[in-house]
Amino acid sequence: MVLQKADLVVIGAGPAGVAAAIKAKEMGVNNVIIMERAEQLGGLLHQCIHNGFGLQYFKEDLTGPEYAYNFIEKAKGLGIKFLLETMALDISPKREITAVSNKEGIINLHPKAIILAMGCRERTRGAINIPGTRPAGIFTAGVAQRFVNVEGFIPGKKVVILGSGDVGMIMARRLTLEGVKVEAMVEILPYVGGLIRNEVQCIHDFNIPLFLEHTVVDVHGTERVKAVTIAKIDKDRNPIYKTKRKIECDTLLLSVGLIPENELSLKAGIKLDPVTGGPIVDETMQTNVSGIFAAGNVVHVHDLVDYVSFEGELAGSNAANYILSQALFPKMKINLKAGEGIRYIVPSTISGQKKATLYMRVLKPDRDVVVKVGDDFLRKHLPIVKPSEMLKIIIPLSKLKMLKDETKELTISCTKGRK
Amino acid sequence: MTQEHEIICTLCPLACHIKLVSEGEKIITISDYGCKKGKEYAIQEFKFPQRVLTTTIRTSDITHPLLSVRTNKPISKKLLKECMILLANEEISPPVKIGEVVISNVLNTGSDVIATQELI
Amino acid sequence: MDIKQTDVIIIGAGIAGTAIARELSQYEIDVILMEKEADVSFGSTKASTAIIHPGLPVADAPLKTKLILDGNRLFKQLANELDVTFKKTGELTIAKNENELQELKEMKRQADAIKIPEVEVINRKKLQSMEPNITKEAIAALSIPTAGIALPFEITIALAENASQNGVRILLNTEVTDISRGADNQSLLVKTACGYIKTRFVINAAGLFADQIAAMLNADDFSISPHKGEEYLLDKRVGSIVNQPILTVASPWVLVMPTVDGNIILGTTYTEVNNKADSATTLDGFRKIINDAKDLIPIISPKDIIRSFAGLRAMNTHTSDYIIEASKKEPKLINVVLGSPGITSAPAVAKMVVEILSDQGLKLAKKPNFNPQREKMLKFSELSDEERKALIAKDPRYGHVVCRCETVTEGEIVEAIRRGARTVDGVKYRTRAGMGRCQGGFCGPRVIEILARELNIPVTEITKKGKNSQSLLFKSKELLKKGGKDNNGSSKS
Ligand SMILES: Cc1cc2nc3c(=O)[nH]c(=O)nc-3n(C[C@H](O)[C@H](O)[C@H](O)COP(=O)(O)OP(=O)(O)OC[C@H]3O[C@@H](n4cnc5c(N)ncnc54)[C@H](O)[C@@H]3O)c2cc1C
Ligand SMILES: Cc1cc2nc3c(=O)[nH]c(=O)nc-3n(C[C@H](O)[C@H](O)[C@H](O)COP(=O)(O)OP(=O)(O)OC[C@H]3O[C@@H](n4cnc5c(N)ncnc54)[C@H](O)[C@@H]3O)c2cc1C
Ligand code: SF4
Repeated sequence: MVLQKADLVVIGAGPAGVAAAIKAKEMGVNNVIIMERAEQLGGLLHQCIHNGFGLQYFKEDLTGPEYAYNFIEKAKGLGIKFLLETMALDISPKREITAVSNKEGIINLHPKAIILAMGCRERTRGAINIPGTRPAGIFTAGVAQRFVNVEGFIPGKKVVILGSGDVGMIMARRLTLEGVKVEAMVEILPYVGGLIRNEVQCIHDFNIPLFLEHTVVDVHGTERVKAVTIAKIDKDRNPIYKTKRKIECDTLLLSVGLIPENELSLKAGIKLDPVTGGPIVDETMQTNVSGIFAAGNVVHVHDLVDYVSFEGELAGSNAANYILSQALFPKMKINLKAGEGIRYIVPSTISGQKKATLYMRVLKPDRDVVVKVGDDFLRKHLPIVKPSEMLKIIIPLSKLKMLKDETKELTISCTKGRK
Repeated sequence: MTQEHEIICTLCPLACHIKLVSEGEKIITISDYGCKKGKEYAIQEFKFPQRVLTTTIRTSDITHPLLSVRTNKPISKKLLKECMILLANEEISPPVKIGEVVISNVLNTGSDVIATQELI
Repeated sequence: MDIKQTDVIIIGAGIAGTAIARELSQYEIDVILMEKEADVSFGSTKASTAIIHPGLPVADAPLKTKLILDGNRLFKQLANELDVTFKKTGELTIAKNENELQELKEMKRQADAIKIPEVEVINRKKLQSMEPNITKEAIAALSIPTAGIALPFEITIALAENASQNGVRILLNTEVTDISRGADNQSLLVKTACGYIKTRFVINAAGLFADQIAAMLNADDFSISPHKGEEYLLDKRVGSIVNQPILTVASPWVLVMPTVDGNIILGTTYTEVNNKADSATTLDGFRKIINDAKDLIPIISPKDIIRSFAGLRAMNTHTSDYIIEASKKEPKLINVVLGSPGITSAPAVAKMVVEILSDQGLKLAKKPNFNPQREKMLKFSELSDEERKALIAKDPRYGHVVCRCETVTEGEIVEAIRRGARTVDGVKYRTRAGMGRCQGGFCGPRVIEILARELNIPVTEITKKGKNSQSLLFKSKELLKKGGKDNNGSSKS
């Protein structure tokens, strides 16, 4: 079935998608449709019932559902159309969308612009190659979170968690509170992967044994998990077998990273960044395919939802500009390159005609570093940096105006030093 | 006898490892904090550590078996478990509005348990 | 259970047992297929790479050689009747030096001698054009176009469905724990948890456990040693790095191959283990396979792995050949011990077993209404938009995508359950839900929910693969309400 004309279709009703739709609608785009495969709006926030959301955006400490509620109510009030339980199956490079839902059947839409906001998925056991048997009782942390917080089930009563990202730590606390014994949290890096607040309030508060520079080297049990064996790793990440220890448990949770969800983007001919796994975008959040924008975890995995909302709004306002007055788009003239100490930067190109907001991640935790843009164009001292905490650097327009006309590239680095 | 405590400050990304020496209830010294706010935090953490509890309550609606809730103010860390057991025995029926008080003055903490979701 | 007497009991619902069951279902006899696991194909069969081998002679194994060759020739018709995928991809065995090239030439002579058609030793240039990603070190390859690929569990499930359609009774979760001779000396008594069943013949297709079954009647002295084969599955994104199985003369176990679904399998190892339940993958196995695979196809990267698994080959310690015969001490027991390979030969093995039964005096009259055709399950992902529209209009559950990676709908999952899936893995093998890159991360919870709903049992009783493999052990708050005992959820004070 062909639905009524759509000017903008947003795919995914998480915080990125909803913020983008609101912004575009507010800027005067007529028909805005959000397509969401789940039965409710809010994306991941729905299952993130812990607090810690909104400190930047609302200057308030909210839980995930509360944060989402604020946006959803606003979107409903603006008359944005929601297609729930509707899964986008295909997008062509010409922006033709094919979707499916049990109510409408096959839906074809051809909007003037699209915003991709599909979020991310979790890395699984296969992706990190944990040896051992394949019994029941192995879950990714996000799946377990959904069971525990939404569906009403507890996977087991003795749990080992591999990976100390935020999702894993949040689940360690959540399960402990629900009466589960978290036997160990195992992390391959020499430091905890998530935010310090989570380390204190989820791990230390509950005396959860933390094994840094360790990994799971074996899984035991044929029907249900019976135990896992962990071991310390050496410099090359090889397990040191004499440090092996077997931990009895009935459940193994994996919190080993998130990957942007870009199967649709690939179908549309969108180029992905091999480091982030998300679309390469310019300062307007537009991808290499004209009229297709992207925002949120689909572009790069965020640690704070507030930045996801900001990014969504940016994509929304630019998609609105694209729909309403295409001519106004400045040319992207300057490439941003990740130099020493930097893992990636979003966006990858800027125009130099507008204040530039750069989001980036460092390669390793450090204290007293200097982030440099260009040779000596802009520098900022930071007392502490961590890969788990996204860095935000703003280059003011006044600064950009000082760039030479022939500047085609700016390298950004993060090195030790105070100045 | 004096006792040494290490308190990791969570107020800013610097995450200072603050050292606090006590004798019984009494604080003898505090050091290694990066700012005044951190010092206050360490004292609070030593004397009366508090947390916002975020959890769920069972509902009578089979399509939404759980409703997410939180305490509207931090409660004593020592009471988290007791509060969980108390809530485990509760069940709630729709409709519930977001922000609605589900249990008032829980365990006499002066803090209410409120809904963080709607249940229609 | 009211079954007390039957003509034939088949023990084991792997490829062998189900192929035999289906072959026997065309005759007017009563057949029961017993399987200890919760579904068919859960033994060695599910982990098979399932190359449909062309039938090159196997040393010291004339029966195996013959049945593989016959099986290969029968496979296409079988796949057509059962409506399962069988792709005649051909296979390439590469040589890296002059000695290996000589071996290829010898293999070619052997192939010609038994009339395997179109076998050719091809040069580097042709090899490169057929397989652009092949290692530069390959100097030549033996090309055998009659080789193919299939899905072991798809065939086994289809065989079981067709057998059942034609009257075979399949008892899952039914372990044979003893067999004894009947008082009349004309029959055997097969013991399971549900009691005894009297039967005229027992077919021992118990794979790894065939020695234990034979031992129940003190019948034969062969024993089975499990040999593990690890495999690593790559994402569909790199699904076209090879077009057919790539093998090497240097080792019979190493391979890089496409699957019929568009993934790539890297395999395998061949390691003797001492436990018939040991299907654990290992770090050593992983490293070996990655190295071996890169030696064939250098661009392979472990980053593309989405799943690893291992299967056990049931190797007979007494012979490298198959044992397919009426036991000498107890001719009412027919042993079918295949080891590996056994997917390819299954259609031929089944026909041979029928002959043996007939030789042993079982009267086999054809059923007039035998239907060899089995209808395949609809796959939403393979339909056109028009077909999809029509399907959703009829049944809206086909408009609800449950597994996003493989685009599997609720309609398909419900149909899989109707056809007999009782576990999460059973749904996976029938629909592919959970086989994609997120490995059930997204759809796993949904599949559990649908199973519970359709089977009308609590979610906490749904298993991954039967027995005690429940996925979710408790309902929310259960651990707190039970009180303090094993509840360590205390916070530090
Ligand atoms: C466990 C966890 C804990 C977190 N904790 C915190 C925290 O404490 N504080 C904080 O600030 N941030 C936190 N975050 C981060 C924050 O929640 C996420 O960054 C944010 O939800 C990402 O928003 P998004 O809109 O990009 O993606 P999502 O919220 O994932 O939304 C994407 C939506 O797209 C839909 N979708 C995908 N593909 C399709 C398709 N083909 N068709 C239709 N719909 C589709 C999905 O169903 C989903 O609803 C946490 C994240 C996780 C996973
Ligand atoms: C890694 C690997 C790769 C392979 N590659 C190929 C290939 O490319 N091509 C090829 O042709 N072959 C291949 N094979 C070999 C092939 O998989 C086997 O030959 C074939 O699956 C054997 O089938 P089966 O039915 O004899 O045994 P199984 O599949 O093991 O079936 C035996 C069944 O009997 C059941 N059972 C056992 N004891 C009892 C009992 N007491 N009561 C009830 N039930 C019982 C078991 O649960 C099991 O389901 C491979 C095997 C492995 C492991
Ligand atoms: S003490 Fe001050 S500087 Fe140190 S972490 Fe706390 S708030 Fe930051």
